[in-house]
Amino acid sequence: MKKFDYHRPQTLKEAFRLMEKYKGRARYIAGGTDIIVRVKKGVAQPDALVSLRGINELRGVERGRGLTFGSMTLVRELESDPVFSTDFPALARAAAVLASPQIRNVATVGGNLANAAPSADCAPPLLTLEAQLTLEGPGGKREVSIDEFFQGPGRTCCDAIEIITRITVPAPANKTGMAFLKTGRVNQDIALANAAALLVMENSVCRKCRLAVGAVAPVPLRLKTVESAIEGRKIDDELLGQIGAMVEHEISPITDVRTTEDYRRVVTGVMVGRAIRQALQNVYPGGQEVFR
Amino acid sequence: MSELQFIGKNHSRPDGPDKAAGKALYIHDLVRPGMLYGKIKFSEYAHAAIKHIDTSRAEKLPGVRAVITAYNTPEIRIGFIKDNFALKKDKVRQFRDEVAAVAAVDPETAAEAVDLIEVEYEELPGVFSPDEALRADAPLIHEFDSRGRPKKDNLVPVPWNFTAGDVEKAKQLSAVVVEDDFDTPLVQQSCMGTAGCIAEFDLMNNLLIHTKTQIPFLAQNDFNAALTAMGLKGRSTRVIVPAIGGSFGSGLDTHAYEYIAILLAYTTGKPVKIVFNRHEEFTALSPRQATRTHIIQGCDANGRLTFRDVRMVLDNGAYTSWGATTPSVMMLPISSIYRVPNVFYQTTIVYTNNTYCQAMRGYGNPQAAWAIESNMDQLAEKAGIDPYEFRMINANVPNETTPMGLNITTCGFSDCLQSVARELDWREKRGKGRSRARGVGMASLFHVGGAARVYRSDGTGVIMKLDDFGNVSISSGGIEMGQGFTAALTAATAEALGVSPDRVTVITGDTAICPWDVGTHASRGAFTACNAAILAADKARQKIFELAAEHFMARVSANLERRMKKQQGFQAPNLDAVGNPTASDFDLRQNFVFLKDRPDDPLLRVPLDELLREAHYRQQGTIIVTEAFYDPCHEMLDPKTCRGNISAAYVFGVQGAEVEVDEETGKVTVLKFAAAHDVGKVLNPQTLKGQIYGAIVQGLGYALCEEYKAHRGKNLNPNFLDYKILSAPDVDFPIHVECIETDDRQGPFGAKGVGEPGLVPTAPAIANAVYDAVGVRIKSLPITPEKVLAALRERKNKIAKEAEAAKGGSNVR
Repeated sequence: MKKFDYHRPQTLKEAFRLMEKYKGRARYIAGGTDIIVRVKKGVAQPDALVSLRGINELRGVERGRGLTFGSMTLVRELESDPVFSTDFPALARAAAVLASPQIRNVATVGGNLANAAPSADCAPPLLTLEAQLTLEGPGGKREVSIDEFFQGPGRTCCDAIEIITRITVPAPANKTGMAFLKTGRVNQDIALANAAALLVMENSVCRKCRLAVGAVAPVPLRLKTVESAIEGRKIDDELLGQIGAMVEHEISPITDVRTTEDYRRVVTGVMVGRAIRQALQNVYPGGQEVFR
Repeated sequence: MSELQFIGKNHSRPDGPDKAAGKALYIHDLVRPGMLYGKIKFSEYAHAAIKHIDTSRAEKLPGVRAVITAYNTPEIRIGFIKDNFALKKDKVRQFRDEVAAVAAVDPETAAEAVDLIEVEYEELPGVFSPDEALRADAPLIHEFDSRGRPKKDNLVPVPWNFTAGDVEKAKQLSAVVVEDDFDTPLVQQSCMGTAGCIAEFDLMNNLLIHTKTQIPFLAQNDFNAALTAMGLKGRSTRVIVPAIGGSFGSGLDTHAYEYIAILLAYTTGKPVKIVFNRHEEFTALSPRQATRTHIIQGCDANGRLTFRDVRMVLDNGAYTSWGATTPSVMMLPISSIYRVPNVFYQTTIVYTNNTYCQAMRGYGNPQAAWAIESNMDQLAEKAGIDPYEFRMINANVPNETTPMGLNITTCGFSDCLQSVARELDWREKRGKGRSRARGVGMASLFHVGGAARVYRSDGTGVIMKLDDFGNVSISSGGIEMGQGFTAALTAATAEALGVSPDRVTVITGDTAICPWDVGTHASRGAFTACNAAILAADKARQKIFELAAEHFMARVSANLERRMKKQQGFQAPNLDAVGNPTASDFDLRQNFVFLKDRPDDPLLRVPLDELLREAHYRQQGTIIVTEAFYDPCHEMLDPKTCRGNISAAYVFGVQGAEVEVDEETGKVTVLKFAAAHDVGKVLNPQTLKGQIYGAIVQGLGYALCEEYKAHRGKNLNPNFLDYKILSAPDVDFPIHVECIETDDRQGPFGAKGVGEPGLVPTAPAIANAVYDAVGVRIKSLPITPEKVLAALRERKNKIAKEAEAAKGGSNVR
């Protein structure tokens, strides 16, 4: 492991100054559960790590028309704080199955997104929630939709110094149901595939459908074709029966040491279907209204 | 023996608190004065000629104290048939081959220096499966055998074959015959504590090595041979084993890294530490062998087994460890589980350019059980017999010698079968859950339970030492590696001697202090050491009682007199009636020496420590130290016929599961798990169940997810991100464990060995349950969702095709 300097600035301005000083040879560290592994492996060899832990403005939750929370919010907080689990159960669920409790106690939601792993568990629920990310760099702030944030494996729309400061999710509409599902080889695992669904229902008709999947494309992926096939329709068994094939068509998984392309395709189709059913049940506890 | 005081009761483990609190010292924690850090340069090819090694840049790096290769150090041959070398010369045969090593002042410098070593290779064609290696034109992995004779093929010269009865005739006469192929993958021991050692020399060139091993005395032997190879013949080796974070068989051989540390220590004159990181633990240690088994079994019309024919091919990897002897253990169930008169067993062990394999918990038995127990269910189905009934019909019985010459004494097999069937609600559930994709399945095991004579001596020694305070130290050559050895030996010592367990200190892991032991393997640790402790305790009791004959009455009188002075009105009893007791009149229990015929008289007893001091602090005084060497009454296998009673006792066990299969994703979920093991006698219920729970979880990993994946000899998942073992959240179902006590007279207090068996039948039990749930049989481990889903699809297509064919047929008519 290459030796590196470690800095823990108190303000964003100070963090940006440090990053500029190292001229691209420094990396941010949030929880460290990804970057430290990469440094130890020698895959990342920064001259310095700039910690975001001391910067208070990256923490905290504000309720407004929706919820805005700091990027340094711990995954553990997403999992256990009712502020998240009451209104955004799919996000809380994704947090609850991300890695292990020890990891969740230090990993941050901003870090999970900025690392831009296609398998990031926080990404699909935030994609279905159409989260807005506030990015900030020396040049100022900008807002981007999470849909535009991911550019490829490990690549985002942030420049080298920009960071995610806040994440905003709109308040759910009436009759909204959400779900998150994950397939791993064991319970504590990186996702072989994951899926989130968000449905807004009106008299058994789906007014809004947001579906997102992970680990089956270069980026965490919104399934826009499948969404539009569902919106405006009654979700019945016939429609649900077609979803697997539609999902399989829209994703582009790979074979790696964890599983095969074929298995990822099949299991993602199954999970999206199940996530929709689960989301429906959350809109209509008991599910009678739909499956009558 | 009178009523047991401590055996069979829960006692906390003496090693528990320090381990739980992080105070125990593992190899990772140890530092020696002036210590350097060693690091190994491994091969970059699976098979290549070494053309040139340039170490000059590494040598110039500040902080580097030595750079060694096979070209500047003496040749040290290692391994079971000495086909391996500490450092490789001329060619490499696997990715983990050690081509050079450095010692430096810190680990970072050592790692940097290793990267500066440049090795020029010429790649050679490799072979990566036994099939490839057995082809007539396959490249040779070893051009010469260890005696220097040219080799013509890639066979490992360690054949294991066994024949009993007439299998061919039995095939003809059987009512039902089933044959199939079953595969197992490489799996890694996955010890929490990685491997490592610190080697150092004193100024007389004697070697002291702290190392993670299960065989301190065989290791001492190996290291002495290395000293001879280094020109240090006659110098001695002292092996010290620190706390071990799991070993599971990985410590049954000495490893190249240990010899490299020795060479570096000798070269630098400093202690040198080599500790593997997780990546090295995966890539440079030896996993459990991958096997392919072709099995044929038959039974008569009544469901009685008529024959078993097993042909097995093992991928040895590039060199030969003790792991090449695992077929001798596979042979036990193959020849002897269930009563089967005709047996044929043949192994082919093949060199490849894959990582070389070693022992792992169960020592070949899980691979054998996988084939036998899966095939048992196939045979039962074809014979139209419930698999549980089929096993009951064929179960072994007590006091019977098997065709291999294994003398089964106690045998709780049928009780185990019944326990698991009861616990799983077998009659209600078997064959009835298909509509919900739920099923139950079971599988059995047979293993050595009274040590195993795989070496010329299977003995173990203990030294028992009593001090002035009535405390007992027992030093043993056995090793505590997390399995509860210390707890078992503590309870056995306390019980056998007559002291409380808190008076007992167990000393292990130092060849200079502890008496010889062949190694902690074959589930033999508690069985042998506790038997030795009983022998040593008997000797100590005899000596104590002889001292009592001399000093007991004097101490009683003195105590009474003192009490009369202190306590007004106290009347001492008349001791004349007691007379002059002799050694045979005494007993010792709960730290007190007393008269056998007056066990309850509080005035007629003397604390053990008081008696010991009385005997010690006088002119020509004495202290008590005893020793014992226990070697079980069993025999080595005849090398030609492979017959012989290899163990003093045998264990049986049955495990079963209820599972649910997700037919859309192929995922297998365990709903309930039941295990019943014939353990002889429970020494410590908590520790024993802990052993079995742990083994079941390890067995479930083998069943469901563990696989050391490699491409052309290179490991693809050398980390726990991609090598998946089960962890606590995966065990979200009840595990019921029943211990069947058969009280074997060879065992200490009746106990048989329990360390390994808990993972032996786990995988076939799951496979059999999956078959019951969804009607597909997975024949290669692990039973992944991918395989289950593919098998379900295949089955669906087959059914559809058959339906179509039937439909087509009716149209024609």
